[in-house]
Amino acid sequence: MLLASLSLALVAFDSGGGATHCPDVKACLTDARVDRQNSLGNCGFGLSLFGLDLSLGGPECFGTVYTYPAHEICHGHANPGTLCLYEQRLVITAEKCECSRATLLGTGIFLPECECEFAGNVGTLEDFQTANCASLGQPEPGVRPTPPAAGGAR
Amino acid sequence: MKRTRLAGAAAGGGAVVLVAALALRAGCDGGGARQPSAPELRAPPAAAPGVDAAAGAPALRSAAAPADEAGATVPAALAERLARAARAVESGDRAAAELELAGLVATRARVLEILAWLRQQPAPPPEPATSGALLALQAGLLLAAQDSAQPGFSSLEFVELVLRELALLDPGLRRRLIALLAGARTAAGPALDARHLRCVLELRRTHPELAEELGPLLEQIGSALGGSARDQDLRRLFLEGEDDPALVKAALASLLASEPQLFLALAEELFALNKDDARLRSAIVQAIVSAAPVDDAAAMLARTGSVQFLTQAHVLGTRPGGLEALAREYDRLLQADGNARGRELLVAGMLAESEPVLRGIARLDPDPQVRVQSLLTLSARGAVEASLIDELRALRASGGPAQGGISTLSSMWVAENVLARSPGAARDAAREYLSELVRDASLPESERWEAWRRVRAWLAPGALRGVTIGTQVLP
Repeated sequence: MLLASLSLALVAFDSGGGATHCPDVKACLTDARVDRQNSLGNCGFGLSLFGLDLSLGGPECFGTVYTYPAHEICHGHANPGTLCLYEQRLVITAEKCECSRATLLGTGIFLPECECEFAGNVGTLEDFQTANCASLGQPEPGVRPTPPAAGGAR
Repeated sequence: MKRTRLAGAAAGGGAVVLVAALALRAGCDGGGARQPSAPELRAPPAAAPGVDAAAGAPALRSAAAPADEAGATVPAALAERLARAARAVESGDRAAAELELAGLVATRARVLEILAWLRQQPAPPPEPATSGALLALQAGLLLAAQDSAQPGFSSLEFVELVLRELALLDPGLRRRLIALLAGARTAAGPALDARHLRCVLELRRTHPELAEELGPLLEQIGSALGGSARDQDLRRLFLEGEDDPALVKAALASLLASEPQLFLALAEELFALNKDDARLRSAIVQAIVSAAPVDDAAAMLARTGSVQFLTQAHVLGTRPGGLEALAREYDRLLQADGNARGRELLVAGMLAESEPVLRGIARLDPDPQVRVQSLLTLSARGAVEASLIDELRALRASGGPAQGGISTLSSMWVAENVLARSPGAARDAAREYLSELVRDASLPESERWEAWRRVRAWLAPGALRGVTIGTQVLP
C-alpha cells in the first residue's frame, strides 16, 4: 500500500526528463479536535427560588458533538529531502447528546447528566505522511535526504 | 501588521479613524450600574450599608447562618452553609436545596459575602463548599437575569461584579466560574447576552493574560447578538480582535448579516492569511455559515475545500435556504467538473436532502470521495431503506474507487451507520454485509478485523464463532 503511494508520488513529481525533483516539504500534524454545536444549556438540577424556576449546576450539554481525528496535512512546510504523501482517509464521527437523569449506584438518587451516543460516521478527512525523497529515486545533487521530523510524521 | 492591513481595508480608507473613534469611552459599569463600594469588596465581608441580610426572605430566616455583630456571616458558618447547599443538590434533595440557596442569595450582601469568601480560598479550594458557592452564584445570576427582586442586582451589575472577581481567583476556580456564566440559561435564553459585551471586553483589556480563558463568554455573547444589537462596537470588536477566534466569531457573524459584501471579503482575506491558525479559520468559517447570505456561504465553504469544516457545512445546511444553496453550488461545481473536495464538503452539509438525490450522487459523481460522502450523509442522518446495503455491495463490487465504485473500508463506515441509525430490515442487512466481510478470506486481514470491530457489538454471542482471521479464531 505504502509502496504504491510512493510510486505514484514519484510519477507525480518527476519532471518528465527522468530527473526526480524533491519538493523538500513535510506533512504537519493537526491535533484531534472536538466541535460542539447546539448548546442545550446545563443539564442542571431543577428547583424553584422566589417563585422562579431555575436549573442549577450540571454539565453543559451540546446537541451534537463532532470528533475530528488527529491527522497530518500538507501545508508546504519546508523540510529538505522529504515530500508530503497521501496516506489514508480517517473518519469524522458525530454523537447526539441530551440531558438525562443518571442513577448514582446504590443510592437511589437521580442526578442530571449529559448523555451522548454514537450518531454516525459523518465524513472523512485526508491523512498525509512525510516520506524521504531518497526512497523514491535518485534525489537531485545537493539534496541530502533527512528522516521525517520527530512527531511530524508517522 | 495584519491588524493595520485589515483596518485599512475595512472602511475603505476610514477604518483607522473608526478604530480610534470607537475606543471604549465608558467602563464596564455601562452607566447606571451600581458599583460595590470598597468596604463591600473588602475581606472579611460585611453587609452592604442599609441592607438587612434577611430582608426579602422572611420565611427563610430559620435557615440563615450565624452573623457577627456587624451583621456579616461568619466565614466558617458561610462555608458550612455553602457545603450544605452543595450536598442538598448532590443528593437530589430539592426542598433542602431550595431552602439553602434561597437564604444564600436573598440579598446582595449575601452574594458579596460569597464572592469575598471565594476570593480568600486557597488552591485547591475546599469542597463541597466551593461547589455550593458556585451554585449560589449561578442561582443569583439566573434570578437577576429574570428581574427578580432577589438578590437585588440587575443582570448587568451581577455579571460585572462576578467578572471583577475573576482575575483574583485561583485559575481552576476561575475556569469553573467562567463555564458557569457561559452556560447559565433561563427560559428566555442565555443569561449572558449583548448587554454584557462591554464588561467582558473591559476585563479582557485590563487582563490580557485572561483573553483565552474568556473565550467561552465571548462566544456566548456572540451567539446572542441579533440584528438589533449590531452597532459600532462590533466593528471595533472585529477589527481589534482579528487574531482572537472568540472575538472574531462574536463580531463577524453580526457584521456579515448587516454588510455582507464588505465583511465577507474581509473574512475571506483573514482566512487566507491565517493558514496555520486552525481555531481562527474555524471561527471565521463558522461566522460565515451562520450569518452570510446562504449562496455566498456555500461558495466560500466550497472554496475552503477542506472537510475540516464539516461541522460548518452542517450548520449551513440547517439554515433557511441553506440546503438549496448547497445544492446549487454543488451543481455548479459538478458542471464545471471541478473542486472535488469542495463538492465533498457541500454534500456533507446536505443532511436534509432527499434519499434519491443522495443515492444519485453516490452513483454518479465522478469523484470516489464525494460518492462516499453522499452515502455517509444519507446513512448518518437517520433511517434508510434496506436496499441501500444492496447498493453498497454493488458499488464495492464495481471495481473500487477508480472504476466508479467505493473502497471496502468506505463501505464499512456506511454499513456501521446503518447499524446504528436504521432499525429492522436495514439493520439486519448491514449486519449481514459486515459479517460477510469478516468471513471473506480474500480480503486483507486488516479489513476483516475492521469489519469485525464494527459489527461485533451487533451480533449474537458466537455468531461468527470459528471464523479464522490470520492465526486467530473468533470466539
